[in-house]
Amino acid sequence: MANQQTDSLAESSTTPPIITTKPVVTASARPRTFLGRNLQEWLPTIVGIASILVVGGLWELAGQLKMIDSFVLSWPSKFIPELFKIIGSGQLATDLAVSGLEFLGGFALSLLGIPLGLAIGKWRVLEWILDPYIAVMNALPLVALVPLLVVMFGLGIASKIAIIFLLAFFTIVISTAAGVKTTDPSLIKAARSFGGSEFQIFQKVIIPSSVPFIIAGLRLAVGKALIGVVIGELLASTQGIGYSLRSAAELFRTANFFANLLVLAIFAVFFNWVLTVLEKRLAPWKD
Amino acid sequence: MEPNIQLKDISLVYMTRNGERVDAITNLSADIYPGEFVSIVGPSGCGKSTLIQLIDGLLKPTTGTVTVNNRRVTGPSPDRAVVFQDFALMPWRDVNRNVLLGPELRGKTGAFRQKALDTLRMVGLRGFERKFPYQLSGGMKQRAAIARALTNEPEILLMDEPFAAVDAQMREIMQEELIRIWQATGKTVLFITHSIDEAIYMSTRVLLMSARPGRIIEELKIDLPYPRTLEVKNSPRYFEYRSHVWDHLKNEVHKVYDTQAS
Ligand SMILES: Nc1ncnc2c1ncn2[C@@H]1O[C@H](COP(=O)(O)OP(=O)(O)OP(=O)(O)O)[C@@H](O)[C@H]1O
Ligand SMILES: [Mg+2]
Repeated sequence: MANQQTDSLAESSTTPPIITTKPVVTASARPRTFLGRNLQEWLPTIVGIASILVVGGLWELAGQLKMIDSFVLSWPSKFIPELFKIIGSGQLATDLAVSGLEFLGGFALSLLGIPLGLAIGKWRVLEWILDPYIAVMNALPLVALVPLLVVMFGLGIASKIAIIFLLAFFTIVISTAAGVKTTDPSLIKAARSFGGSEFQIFQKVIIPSSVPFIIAGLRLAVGKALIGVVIGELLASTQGIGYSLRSAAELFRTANFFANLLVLAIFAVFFNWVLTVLEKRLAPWKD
Repeated sequence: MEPNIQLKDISLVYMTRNGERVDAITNLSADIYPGEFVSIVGPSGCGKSTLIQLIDGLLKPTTGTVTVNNRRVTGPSPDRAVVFQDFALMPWRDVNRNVLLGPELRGKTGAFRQKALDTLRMVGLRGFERKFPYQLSGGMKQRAAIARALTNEPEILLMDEPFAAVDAQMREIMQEELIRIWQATGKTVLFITHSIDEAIYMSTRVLLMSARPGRIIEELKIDLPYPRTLEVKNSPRYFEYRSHVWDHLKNEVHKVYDTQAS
């Protein structure tokens, strides 16, 4: 057996190799960069923008060719000027101020879900006590509470903050608690072995390991909070983007409706982007 | 001489979540003396990692006592450090901060900075201080875990298959390095391995464990001089030890295999 191996080794060194390797040709010695990023890394962004331009162009074309009923739908050359109009008139600024305040107020309050989630994940008794309520609040379509919240807090900002808080809070509680509970037991074991106290284990193992879950919760919560903003304003308000959307639709000002929708989309994408950056900074080990 | 680690008739029963009992270790006794390099070899699942955790104080024996330096073990202590089988490095800490975990938890990070750099150099990880575990290969993670244990300056080093993930060349270098550290510091080393060769090559004594529930079924003093050169490795004595261990282990491995097959 050993002999055979040496034989075949000897053989392979005398017979010419079957595969002749060609020298690898590299595109360029130094990778070209733009704004500190490799040109390769820009490719997804470039393709994404091209895609928007193409689809937007086709949309515009369909509009120009009268394939779209301007009564129910709009197209870029109609709603983009409309966007500039609401910027110029100051309507957008007032809407954004109101909706933004509601969003930030409700979302900031819902961050209280992080400490509560940590506590629930840590103390099982607390989980047993609170679980029924959290389960109900998570399963219930909370927007059903909007009429009640309007009765309680009025037509103004407060009722919107309340619904945003409710929507975002329980989402954050649930994912934070899940983060605590999925902490790798062997990391806890290691910290204990090296002399960590219960408090140190919580501070130095459980919290950092929950960070990706907390951020995932925040991401979901942003989506829910935006739903809260819009639903709250659609149902009962006198100001804000949701209100503008409703009045545009009621007055059949389709282009104006689309302009406001575009603002909302930019808003949502922006907050998601913020959280993506945050995640990369705080949890670089998760991909 | 007084034993450093005394295991008196220990048993450990795991209770699983669905109420099943797993007898991991039954009536195991052993004495380990200061400065010994003891390897434990046994079939997979026989309770080796459990034994390490019992000695460290992470687990309490169901019956029997674990004594270290004449004191009954009730929990972990800085005189013992574990190199865990699964490394257990914190993914959010870079290598340097992982290695300094022990000192940090005792509020002594500053005093151990230089020590951490020294041990990192020793395990060949100098220059990787700022890297995170996800940026390291399996072998590098394992070396980081070894550096973390050594940085804490334990008197007793509990190593759970510490070289399982390193490649053959690195393994040889690390084996020699560990022997060197052991000889230079006089630490007591308890070393778990799957490799019979490694156990004989490294140790002053080899303990063989039975299939689960684990007991010590055989104890073999390795009377070979250090450093264990190629000459020693090729000596008839070495081969005797090897076949002796292998014969005993074969039976146990068969037991595991047969119970799993049935
Ligand atoms: N937390 C636990 N709960 C229940 N059973 C467990 C637990 N930990 C280990 N066991 C069981 O106890 C036995 C011994 O496990 P242990 O990890 O000590 O084995 P080992 O000898 O280290 O195995 P390996 O060589 O594969 O690492 C195994 O049968 C295992 O399934
Ligand atoms: Mg094990």
